Amino acid sequence: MEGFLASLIGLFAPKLFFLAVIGTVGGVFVGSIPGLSGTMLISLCLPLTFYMEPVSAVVLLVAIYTGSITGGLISATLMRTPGTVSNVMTTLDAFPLAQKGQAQRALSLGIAASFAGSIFGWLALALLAKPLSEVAIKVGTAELFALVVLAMALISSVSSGSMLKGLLMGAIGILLALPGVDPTTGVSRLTLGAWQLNGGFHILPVLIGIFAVAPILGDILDLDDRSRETQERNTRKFLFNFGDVKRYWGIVTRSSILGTIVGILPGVGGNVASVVAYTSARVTSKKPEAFGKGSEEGIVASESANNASVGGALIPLITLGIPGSVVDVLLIGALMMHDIAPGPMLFITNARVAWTLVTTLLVSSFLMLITMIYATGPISRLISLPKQGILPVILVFCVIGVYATTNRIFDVWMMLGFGIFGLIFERARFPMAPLVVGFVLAPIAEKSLRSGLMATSGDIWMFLSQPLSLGLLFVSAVLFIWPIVKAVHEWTSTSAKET
Amino acid sequence: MKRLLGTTLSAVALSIGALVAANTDALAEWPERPIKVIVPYSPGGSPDQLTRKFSAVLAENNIMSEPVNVVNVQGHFSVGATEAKNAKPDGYTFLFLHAALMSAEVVNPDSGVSWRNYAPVAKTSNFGLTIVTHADQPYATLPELMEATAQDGHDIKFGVNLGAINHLTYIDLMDAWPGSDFKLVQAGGGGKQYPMLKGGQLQAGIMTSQDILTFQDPDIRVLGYSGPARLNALPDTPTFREQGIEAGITYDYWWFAPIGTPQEAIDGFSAALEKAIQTDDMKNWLEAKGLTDDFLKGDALQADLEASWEKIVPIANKAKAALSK
Repeated sequence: MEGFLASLIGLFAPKLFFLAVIGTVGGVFVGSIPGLSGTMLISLCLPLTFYMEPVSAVVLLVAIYTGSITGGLISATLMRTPGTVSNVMTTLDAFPLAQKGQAQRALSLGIAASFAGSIFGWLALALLAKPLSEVAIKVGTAELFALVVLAMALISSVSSGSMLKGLLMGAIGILLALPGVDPTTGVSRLTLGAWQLNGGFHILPVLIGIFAVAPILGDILDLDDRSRETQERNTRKFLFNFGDVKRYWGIVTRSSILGTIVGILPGVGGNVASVVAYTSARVTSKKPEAFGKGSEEGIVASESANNASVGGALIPLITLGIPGSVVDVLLIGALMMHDIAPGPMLFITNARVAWTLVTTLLVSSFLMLITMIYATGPISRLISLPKQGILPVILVFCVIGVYATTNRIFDVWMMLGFGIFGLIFERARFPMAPLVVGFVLAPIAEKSLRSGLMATSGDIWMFLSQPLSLGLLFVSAVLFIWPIVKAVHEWTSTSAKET
Repeated sequence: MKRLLGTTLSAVALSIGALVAANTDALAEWPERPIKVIVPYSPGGSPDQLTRKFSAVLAENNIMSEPVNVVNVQGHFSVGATEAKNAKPDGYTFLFLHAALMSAEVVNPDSGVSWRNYAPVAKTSNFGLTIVTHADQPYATLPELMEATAQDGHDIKFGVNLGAINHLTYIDLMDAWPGSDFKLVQAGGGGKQYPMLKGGQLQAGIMTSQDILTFQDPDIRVLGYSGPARLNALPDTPTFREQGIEAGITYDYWWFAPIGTPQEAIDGFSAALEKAIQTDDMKNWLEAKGLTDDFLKGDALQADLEASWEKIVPIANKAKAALSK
């Protein structure tokens, strides 16, 4: 407690507070520009932090992390292009709501949910870090596999419209996750002989291509068609009241818990968190048909989960030195450059750095809330400039963002390719959400399944003999099969009527 | 609308063009512009930290007049390695890598990598791997663990990254102890094995000394180090050979250039790296990370690469045979 208070007070020293403000505001702006992500800004700032004191480095990087994961909400709502990959699910409902003339409402809900999720993740980090990380490391390959299969089984439920199209897109997503060097045997597979694909498809060009470039290309084609624009441009009012707290506290709590848990799991971050929370919110919703058409619940679920994942991801970092997300890998790198080992001894050997991680997340959550409330106005006014001017600029940002992250021109071409792919499939009314679910989750499922099978010498019984994984797999099977049974039933009964 | 499409496409073309055009002019006096070092791993990892430390030492001590920029290419390491191979050999692109390059050439020929595809520049530092177990396991020394696995056989789960360098060290160790029989579990590098050891999904594993120094966890017992002598950073960890086990393969960190790179640039860069590794700053840093300050260049480096290749091929072939089973 003493360490916490000392660190919290220390954060209000001019230099550190300045870094926290700069980081949060910079994060929000970079996050709100499609193509540019927080991960990119953090990678670019990483060499700078080598010349800072460790505490300053932590403040800057954590503040960027918090700001960037929220900033993407703005462009997701107003332009149908998520600012970062963590806001992909938000786009599905925030943009339709904005089209109905309720852009302010969508933004306000998103901001409030982000703040709530952020604080929830912080609470978990501050109060439960130790017990949670102990539980997290007990999650074996069988449970992890079952958990991911459960999330993938929900593919059939996230796809609005044609069931078959949804499953097809899910399968394409899984297929896109397969090429590259086999994670278990180190041998190239499905690369069609192209060395460029040895690392597989990078997540950024795929998701930015489909969710940012495709809508931009679509907007260019439809430039003369005014009906697709959002009706309302004045977003200065913050439309949120206590009735919303009462209405959405349940969904915020559930999504934040899911977001925190996903954050704790090594290597997966905000994008998986929002996918999982969104799908589970839809399944448990009383109005699942509204999802994808401007559901307020969808926005709340996605935004609270991705923000909660930030706190969750820091839990294994400060307790074990294991990165909970890609950004955490960069944070560990920054600490290692200062000879600070972010393992279980961190609170003993470098208590000040450890507490700074915790307090910066809290302070930057508040800074994020303030920035978002005041930034949406100017940012949305920028976005409402004539599209002829704004679309090429954003496309250039996408090119720069992908190149700055992957350092490969190949990935820029991939991004443009996936943009065209996304445009064609969207015009043919194929849902894109199942593709994200398949693409993001398939590698985790594969690795846990194959490691698990090695540990049991190929005996599949392990997955069925443990109560947790058995239960999860059973629920997955039901969830997966039920919509198909329903669809087949409806089809047979209608065709019976016709004949 | 057509005009806008045109504007947009030309904007994209321009931005790509600007990125590509960064490396085009001929060389007058090397270096006359910043140098790019491709690290084919993600930022923050061990190879990345080492390269960035070199970059900082080169700049702070005014060893190089131009900055050395680290460029991370993620995905599989062969992607970044091939990018470097295909880069324009103008003396401004280098590659930083370790023995994974040789191992992959044998285990995964489809990846298309070979150490002979590059002009060697320098070797800076060498590292070994450590065998670890959870502190609640009964094995206090490496021979105790090996004895136990030879008797109980398939009950001790051992984490590796199949086909990668920790798998090679594992095979080298197994060859030295006939009858040893762990249950291998694909886990990945030290960072991936660590939570699995803590969670009881592995009983033993293999990681770098940097990993041990990162986690600094009393729950992880370090049984032995594969290098020829104890590390100053891990003074209580005996080597394999100290414990009577005739095994112990180590790996080098190498700097390469695309073939055709002017000799002036190769000599200039290797001389700069040699100066950097002789600074106290660099020496202390390497020691703290459990890395040696070995340095080689020129003909000695070429001979050392041949020797490493001879050592790695037979072990990598065994890894390949184990994988195809």
